Amino acid sequence: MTRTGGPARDSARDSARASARDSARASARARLGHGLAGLGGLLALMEAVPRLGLVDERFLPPASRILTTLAGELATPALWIALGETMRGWALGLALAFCAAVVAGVVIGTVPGLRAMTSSTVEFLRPIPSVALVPLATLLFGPSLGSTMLLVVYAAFWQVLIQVLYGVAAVDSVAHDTARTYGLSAWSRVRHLVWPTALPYVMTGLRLAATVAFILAVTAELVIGSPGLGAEIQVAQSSGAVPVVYALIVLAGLVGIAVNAGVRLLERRVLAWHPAVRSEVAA
Amino acid sequence: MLEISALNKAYQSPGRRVEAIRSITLGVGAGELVCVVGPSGCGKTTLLRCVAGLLPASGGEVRLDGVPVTGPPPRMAVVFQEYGRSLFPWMTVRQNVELPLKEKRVPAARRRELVTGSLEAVGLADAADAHPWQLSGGMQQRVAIARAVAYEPQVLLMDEPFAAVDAQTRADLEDLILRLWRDLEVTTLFVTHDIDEAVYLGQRVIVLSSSPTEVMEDLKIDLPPGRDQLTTRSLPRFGELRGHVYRQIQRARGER
Repeated sequence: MTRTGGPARDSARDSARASARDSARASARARLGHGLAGLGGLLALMEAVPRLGLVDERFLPPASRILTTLAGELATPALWIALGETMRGWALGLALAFCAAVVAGVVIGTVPGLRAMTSSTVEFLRPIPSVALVPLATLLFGPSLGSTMLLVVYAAFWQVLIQVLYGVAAVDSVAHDTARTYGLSAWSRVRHLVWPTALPYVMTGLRLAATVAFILAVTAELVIGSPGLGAEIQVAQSSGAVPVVYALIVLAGLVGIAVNAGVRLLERRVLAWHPAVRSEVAA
Repeated sequence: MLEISALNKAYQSPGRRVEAIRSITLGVGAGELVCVVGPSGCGKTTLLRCVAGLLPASGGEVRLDGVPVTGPPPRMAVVFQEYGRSLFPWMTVRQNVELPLKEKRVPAARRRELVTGSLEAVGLADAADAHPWQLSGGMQQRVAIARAVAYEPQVLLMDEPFAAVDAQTRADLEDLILRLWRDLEVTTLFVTHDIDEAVYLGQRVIVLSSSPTEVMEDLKIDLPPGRDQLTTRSLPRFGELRGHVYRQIQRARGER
């Protein structure tokens, strides 16, 4: 390569890189545009259907009314208290389930023989729908935080446990041999090898569990009447405040999106080294 | 230093018994570099895993300094072929090299010294804060070598360490191993399928038969000690030794 050719090539490469970056940004913008267009279309449809009389307005209020009702509700402290109750049940239940599942998963996965001993029990308990525990929860705790917690913990626990078990089993044999030859103790192996290997699986489990936990928190409130968003929906429904029912459902949807986005953000931070997340690749 | 006597290894599965190693007896003296070469599938890796204490032998024994090896011995380091799987991707280069030292409870100051020194020795002082996956294959294997060197082993085992890197990188890494071995005077057992590499590196070359494996020949490499990719490899004696080992391995494959 001649010396004079250098700068020209560099600038060509820079502009190529800049145009790649521009096109990436443009495609992100296009994606956002499509998303907004889809949402706009849905809102327009929701507005048009009741206004044109296709569905009775008493059962499906126009989108504009649902949104104004939601704005009105958001101005009342009662709604925020209810939302706080729901999020408290969700967070406490999820945290409890997550910690218990991680500890149980690591122990079952690393102690030889324990996996075989427990697998049939796990496979029996896991498919039991959490909602089937509603009568039990009512009996034990009544309409209280305890009921919400019971359902949330049960539903979230299995999501995390299964992922932890897969994650612990995914430890690479060469990495394991390496840890053994360098004399890593059992605790060090869990901390420096098993846990980081399992972490991508754990994060997937957490993301699944966070969504399921939120669903179960609202379900518990709706069915058992534990205080929270679900109970508010129940009250609004029985008092015939249809727009409020819809407004609260929309709010629940928005919270669900926020929960998922939050866990994804955490995932990206925690797994910066993982091939699915890292931006640089080996040369 | 390292004594392998009548080592036998059979893999037992229900209704089937596969004898991988029939009987291997060999010794590696203190500060010696011995290469083990054999036809593919002859149980080289099995031998190395038995020596490393990662795999229990079915018969015979391995002794390190007179002490029978039953698990990974404390002053032995292993460099594996699959560097990408042997390094921990969630740790930086420095953390990877430092982890075994932390486990050995080496004081922090000495630890820093060892990590910096060994990364300098393999030419990776600048890459200490990178993650392994940001480096090329040859550089990753250098990290694994630095980790082994920092551990200050009595015995260094290498399992086809350069099988997965390109030819030029391979020549560089061979010279790196020779230099480290000479500087540190560490007893080294180097397993490879590459005849040239075995003759170029070794003071002795052990030629294995095909499976069930026995030692076919224990060959002393009488090449001058200061080895060089160009001059050593063009010596007539290098060609003779290489040809001899090659014929032995052909014979081993033919006997199967």
